[in-house]
Amino acid sequence: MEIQIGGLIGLYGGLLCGLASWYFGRKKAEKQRSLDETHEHIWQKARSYSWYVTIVTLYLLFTLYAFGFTLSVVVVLSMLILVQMASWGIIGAVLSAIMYSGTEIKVSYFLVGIIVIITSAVVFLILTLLTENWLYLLNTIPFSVVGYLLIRHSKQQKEN
Amino acid sequence: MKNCIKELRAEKQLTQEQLSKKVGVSRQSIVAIESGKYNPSLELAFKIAQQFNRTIEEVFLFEGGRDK
Repeated sequence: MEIQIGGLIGLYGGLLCGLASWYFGRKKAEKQRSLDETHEHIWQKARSYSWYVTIVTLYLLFTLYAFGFTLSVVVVLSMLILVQMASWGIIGAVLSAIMYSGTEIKVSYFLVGIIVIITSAVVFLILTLLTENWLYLLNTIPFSVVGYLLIRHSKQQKEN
Repeated sequence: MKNCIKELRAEKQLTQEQLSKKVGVSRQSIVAIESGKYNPSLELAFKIAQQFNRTIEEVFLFEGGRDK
């Protein structure tokens, strides 16, 4: 077993960068009174929803394993951390947009749009990693377009 | 839950930013509360009502049923 210096630097360097941006981001937000109860509410909900996304990913990975595909521990852990963190960030941003936008948004269309985008990204990312063929990632484009159109439609619903 | 913050603000000639400073939250939070997308905590509701010298019931109108 050999120590992977690059991996360790990436792992802890990434962690330090993340913590530093989190700390300075909070300091800036504090000045604008942004760390209030709506902020707390939104990001707690985002954490909760991102857990659902992670569970779906875990089930997908178990299903792949049942079908005979095997992925290394590193790939699986990277995928889980990526899905957890990215879904937390994306869902938080989406909930903030819904909460703070002046116009009314039809939530059902909005959520379906987001789910289409996230699901296609997760599924095609797994396929890409399994087959080592990045072209699978291109399949996310039509799904993302459909998701985007649904999100746009959600705004138009109440503006009319 | 409905509220009449917008009307009360107009009456007192307060902007969203000014009200948010007085009650110690972001302007976006006032936007969310005014539009009914977020129901404030009891503490914040008290603070907002205090700014208009009203009771909570006069500012926030409970319509029954379960909100989202």
